[in-house]
Amino acid sequence: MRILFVVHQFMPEFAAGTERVTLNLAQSAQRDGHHADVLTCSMRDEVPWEEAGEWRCARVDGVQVFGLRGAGVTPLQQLGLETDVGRRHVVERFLKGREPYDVVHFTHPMRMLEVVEAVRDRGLPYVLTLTDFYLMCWQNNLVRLSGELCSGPAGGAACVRHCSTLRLNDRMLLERWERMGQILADADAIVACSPYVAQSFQAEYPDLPIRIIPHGINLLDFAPARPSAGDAIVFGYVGTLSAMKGVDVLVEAFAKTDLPQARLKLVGPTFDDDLARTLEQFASADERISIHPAIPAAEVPAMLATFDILCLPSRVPETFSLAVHEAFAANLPCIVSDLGHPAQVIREHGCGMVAPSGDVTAWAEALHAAARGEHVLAEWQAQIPLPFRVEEEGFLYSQIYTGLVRSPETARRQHHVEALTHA
Amino acid sequence: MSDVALQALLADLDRRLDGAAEAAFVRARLQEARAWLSDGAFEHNRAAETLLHDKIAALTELQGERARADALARELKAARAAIRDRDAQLQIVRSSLLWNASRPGRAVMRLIRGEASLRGTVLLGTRLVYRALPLSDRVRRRIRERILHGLRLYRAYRSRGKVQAAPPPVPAPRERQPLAFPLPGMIAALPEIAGTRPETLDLTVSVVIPTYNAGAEFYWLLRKLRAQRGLGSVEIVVVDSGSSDGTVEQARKAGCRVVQIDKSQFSHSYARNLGAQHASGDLLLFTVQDAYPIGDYWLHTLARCLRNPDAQTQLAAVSCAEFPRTDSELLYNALIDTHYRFLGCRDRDRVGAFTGESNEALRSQGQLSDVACMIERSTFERYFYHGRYAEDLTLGVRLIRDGQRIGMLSSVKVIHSHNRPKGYYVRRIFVDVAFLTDVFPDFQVPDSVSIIGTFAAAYTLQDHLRRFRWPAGGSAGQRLDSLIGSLDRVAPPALVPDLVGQGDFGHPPLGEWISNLARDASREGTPLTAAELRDAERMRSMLIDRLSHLRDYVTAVDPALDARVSDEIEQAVEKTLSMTLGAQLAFIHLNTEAGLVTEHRAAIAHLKPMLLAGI
Repeated sequence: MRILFVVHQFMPEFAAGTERVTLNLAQSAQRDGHHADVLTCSMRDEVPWEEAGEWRCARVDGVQVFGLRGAGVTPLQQLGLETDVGRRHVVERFLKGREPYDVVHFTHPMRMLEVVEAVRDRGLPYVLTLTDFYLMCWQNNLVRLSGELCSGPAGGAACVRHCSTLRLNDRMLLERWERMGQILADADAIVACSPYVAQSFQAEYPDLPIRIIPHGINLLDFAPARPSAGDAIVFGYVGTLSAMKGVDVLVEAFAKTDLPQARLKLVGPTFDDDLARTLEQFASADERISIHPAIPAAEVPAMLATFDILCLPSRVPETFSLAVHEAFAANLPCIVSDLGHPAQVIREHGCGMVAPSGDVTAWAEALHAAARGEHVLAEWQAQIPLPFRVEEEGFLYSQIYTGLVRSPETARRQHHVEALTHA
Repeated sequence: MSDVALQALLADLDRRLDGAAEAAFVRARLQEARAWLSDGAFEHNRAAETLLHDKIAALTELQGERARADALARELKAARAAIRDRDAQLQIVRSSLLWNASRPGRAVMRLIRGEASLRGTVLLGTRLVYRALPLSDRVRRRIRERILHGLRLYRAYRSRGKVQAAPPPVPAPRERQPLAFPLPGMIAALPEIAGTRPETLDLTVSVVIPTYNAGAEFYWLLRKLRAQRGLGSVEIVVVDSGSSDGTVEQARKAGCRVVQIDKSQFSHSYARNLGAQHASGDLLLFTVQDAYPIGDYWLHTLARCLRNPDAQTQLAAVSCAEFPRTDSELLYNALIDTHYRFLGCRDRDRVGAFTGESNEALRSQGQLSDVACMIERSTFERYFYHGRYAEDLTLGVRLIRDGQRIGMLSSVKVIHSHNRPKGYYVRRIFVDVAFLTDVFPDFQVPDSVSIIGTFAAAYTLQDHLRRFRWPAGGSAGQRLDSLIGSLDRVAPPALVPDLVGQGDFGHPPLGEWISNLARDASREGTPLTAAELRDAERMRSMLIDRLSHLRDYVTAVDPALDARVSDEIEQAVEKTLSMTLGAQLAFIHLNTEAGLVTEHRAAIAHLKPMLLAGI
């Protein structure tokens, strides 16, 4: 079977969560005896690609990556508000010039809508993985411009009412809703990374059949178990240090705690100068707080092994959070904000605490509660669910690919395309 | 964007708009933009930032355009007033008697001056006459309808014979047809992918796991088994043969029933049979310490294959294929792919039944796998496992010979694979070949007899592989193709080479064994006999055959040829040479036992215990 994975950005340029998930899936498919390529959008000229005419090539850990040049991609294209005919022709030439793919898997369609169109017109079956709310929300996270949470686009009316700007007028927003709805409707299989994402999409599209396959963790990288904390409990955060992730709330809440033995470790990059200054001020005033630079994914298990609890104080609904599931693999309970999938998991299993998003006082109380004694952590640890493995995720997707390749609908479409080509 | 830059931008905007109401609006938008910018999604922010600049530029431009638009609006208003004055004057002229009385005359004059066509003049005249005639509204409407009808007929006549342009090609309409599980060719499906909510099966499954120093990963397996759903209960029976790494303690902590035996007592059959005897479940599931179920309904789904009253085919036992771990090696993936194609479970569920006594028929139909094998306890107690090796295959063969059917699934899989050193492959293939001839009398053993010829070729080939210069470009498959092409040109040595200390193919006792044999034989520099040359040639052709399978697999997967993949391919080639040697040694051993080998019989007698130890 020949599988093409399509994602908005990828290594060697970016290596965040969705990129890691895509690489895991491509490598799983290879180990299972299939051919797997990745098609992405190349945004950075300084990264060493091999130039190959209209696109670029790179090899990433045994996977061939093709990059469509993104230099000409407008902001409106990036946000899914318009597509480019010229770019579409490039995609068509790419697909035509290669041995045919049996299945196309979009792990994120941002900046790649022209690929969706070309794939659709060629009659190829495609799988959509919903890793965030891009297909419903041009801001990706179902948060309105006012900062309020959004319950969904309501046929585009909510976008018009709450998220129109000078450039993003009503017509464009409504057209975006229609375009994305058609992409969803035409997908041969739709998979959400969590029940939270599935429920959010099904609230807008009740008839949409959505399967749930959680992102996998490479359990082999993690030590199986660790003892509960001693006197000095270590709260940790791994990820981008941003206000959207609520890191300012966490650090302020921790500074308020009366826990002299406790520590707070913040690990990750920051692109917000104001926040960086604020965090540095807190860290210099309170020796219990330490800030660490970003680390490669391979070093995350070792870093998590130095924590007792993972904190995720996000101000926006998290659709999955690899960090939380990696924390589970490291046997860490979590304190999370009351938004999105992590809150659902913690509430369901009782493996940590849920605190109101943005509420410094409530977060300080939660940190105190976690530090009440070793028995608290031990009780939470006993409830930690077993994370899904990368291989489990890969196998379930392989069944979807097999089903699509054997589907009579795929054969009918291919026949139609061939008939048109010969005509 | 930094806060300083944002503040400067804001101040600039305030100055340009001079405190107008738009300033408040844009300030609000700037705050929104700052909210976006705090998002770590770099590219998304960049897009938002670009939009923000666009917005500011558009607003500034809007201020200039608004002034110009105001001036134009004033000019437009004056022009419209003038037009209204002239229209009023024209209306007065057109309604005068003189203007209407002189209309025919003006028409004739325009015709004479060439300012109007005859057709237009006739039409105008007809229209005037039509208007002048005293006709009722109904009659006038009928006349208009007939004229329009005539025009349509005329146009149709004019366009006769013209071909309509073909509509543009449209893509195939996509009809949503939800995937239905089990898929065609499959008999099962995990509920996680089928989207079903399975009913709990009121039965107990006993999981039997032989262990020996199971390592850290054993923790994950025990947790996964404990997390299984859709069954009355799950019992875990661990049969440990002398672990020293805490395996027993871990198993007890996880609530397993632990049976301890001495390491010397271990055999694959004995340990499993003992576990089954200590099990109390309705169904038995045999697995291994480094396996890992896929999904939370893995045991349930296998159990349903045995306990499904609606099934067209009742199965006596069911196994599932392996899904490779993230650290699986290329050669193992290729071998398992070939093996599953032979069994018919590469991408289908194979239901095996007795079709004949040939070894191919029995092996392809009767294969079960102890990595995951479920069977009714009552059935197992009638059969048990037999033999030291391949106890799963012999159990399956006995079942199908008795008219039972057994499943080997690809719709359900278990995570398991290996990353073995090359020394393992020499021994593994020796065991497999020796076993096949034990169990399947029709298994054809090639007439290999020569240790000297075999090792002369093995070292020559090893030397060739070490010296081989891999081509710089091309795909992974092309690289292997190039190597195979070069092997075609490797001639067997004319004289016996030095066989002492030349290498052990990953198994040190083997290196020592062949060195001792070579010293005793003292054949270095002497010509190879015909039998030795034939065995040397067999080694080469067997290696080429095995590498060709590897090449076919690699060509299909076609991984990007980076440093890791290149290294994996080179290791796979070395391990393939070890496998080839192991097979050839097994043939010589079997032919020795059959009395066909006359040389080095005493040394060959030591091969089997040396290569079987620990397998």
